[in-house]
Amino acid sequence: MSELAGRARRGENLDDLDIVDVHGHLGRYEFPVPDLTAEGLVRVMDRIGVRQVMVSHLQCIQGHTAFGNDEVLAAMRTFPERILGYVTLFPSDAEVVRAEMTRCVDSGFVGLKMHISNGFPYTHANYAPALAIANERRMPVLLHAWGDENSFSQARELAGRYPQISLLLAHSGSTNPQGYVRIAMEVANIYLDTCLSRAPRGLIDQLVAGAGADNVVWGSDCYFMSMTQQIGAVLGAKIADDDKRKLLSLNARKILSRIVR
Amino acid sequence: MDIPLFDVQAGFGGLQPGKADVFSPGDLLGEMDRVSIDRAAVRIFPDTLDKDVPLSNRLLYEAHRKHPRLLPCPIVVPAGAFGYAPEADQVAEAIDNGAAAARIRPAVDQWILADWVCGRLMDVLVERKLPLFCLAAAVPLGQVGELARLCPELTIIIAGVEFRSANVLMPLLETFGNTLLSIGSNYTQHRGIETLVERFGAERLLFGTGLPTAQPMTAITQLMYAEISDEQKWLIGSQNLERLIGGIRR
Repeated sequence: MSELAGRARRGENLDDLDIVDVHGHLGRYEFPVPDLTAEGLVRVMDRIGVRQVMVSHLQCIQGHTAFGNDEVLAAMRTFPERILGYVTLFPSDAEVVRAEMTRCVDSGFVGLKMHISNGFPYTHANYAPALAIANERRMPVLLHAWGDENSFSQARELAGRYPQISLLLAHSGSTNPQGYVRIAMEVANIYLDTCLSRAPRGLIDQLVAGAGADNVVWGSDCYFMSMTQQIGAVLGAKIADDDKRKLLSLNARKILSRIVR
Repeated sequence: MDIPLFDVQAGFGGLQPGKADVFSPGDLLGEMDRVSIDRAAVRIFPDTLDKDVPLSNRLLYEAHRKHPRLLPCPIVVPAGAFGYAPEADQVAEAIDNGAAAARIRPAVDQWILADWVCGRLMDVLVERKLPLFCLAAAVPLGQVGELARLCPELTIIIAGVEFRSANVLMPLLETFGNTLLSIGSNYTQHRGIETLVERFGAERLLFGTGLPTAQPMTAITQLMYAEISDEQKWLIGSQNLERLIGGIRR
């Protein structure tokens, strides 16, 4: 067993690894979660040794995005440098989008989370002001994706139009793992986010073998799902410990370090 | 504290349409060794192309004879028609071949969970104290509840439960003390283990992975990083299942 797998097997704290979770959430959704607090989330991070989590509010798949952003901001202020915020937006009006993105970025949010569940494509014109700001600030933009060519096509378009953003594709390998690998190989500023509830055996090995360890980042989808469960997907993967360190920390650090504050 | 692990939710050998590779008992043992899982209660999985119950069970028994760390969870079927041995003989055969539990898949094997169909089978399982393994895909939680109500002395292991199912799972565990939950795929609920242990006790949880489809380390980290005591991890990791197996009337 590798050193990191052994430490995980024993449940040892991993805080020396400077772990960053690029895909987290706060907020309520349609199924019950035992603990909806930011405090509870940080407790879990402390158990594992996760340094930072980048969260959007679960209103990103609902509609009251300003309410959600306010809750994320409150958590960022309660847990500075532990909880980092993604802005979520409802693109009903370009000026409203611009104003909300500006408000949040000025308050310290580090990225933008977009989800297709609101019925608007990621390439919708009303998102443009927010994406322009993200591009100017070299921010990460996390896109929900489920292996469909439509999402990939929109991701390609955004990555080309906004070359300074780091585009993170969620749920890599949920379906069509070859499609995820292909797009990460083709487009320099696209990264593959690992979160997937079922954590298929061999999937992360496949993503790393195909796209390279520099292009894959660890996301847990907490607390929509369990961070303690999702970290096992990387720690138990049949990849080198140095590559696990890239997925868990170094790649995210590189993405975060590019941000222009 | 070293926490030994006994996987209640693992399988091997299932053929799947259009897939050439098969996950063998040796492959399963390799994965278990890679993450230090000592033993596993196993079934043929996936069982998409396994409709011949006696053959599937025979494969499990053969694997157990060759690899005693793999304990069979053979399929049992009500014998009200023809083609199957009487229920008592099926259960006796399972126990004689080292079974950790029996499992059912009513829809696949063309029967229903009505007392007048499966009552005799359940009576035999209760009499021999052989736990019943119910994968949620084969026995949805609503049916598990009906079965638990029908047979309050039957020990029922629930596995493959979705992380979104708390509105059903929690009342089920609360109402029916004869049910236990595997934490294996796809039970990935934030602070779920902590909540279940607090509400129902660590005795009601079992360690499971979801092998061969799931990466086994995910269930391990979910248990090992849970905010519960080492003793509770030890119970969930292996001792609860050991206790159930120790209670089987051989």
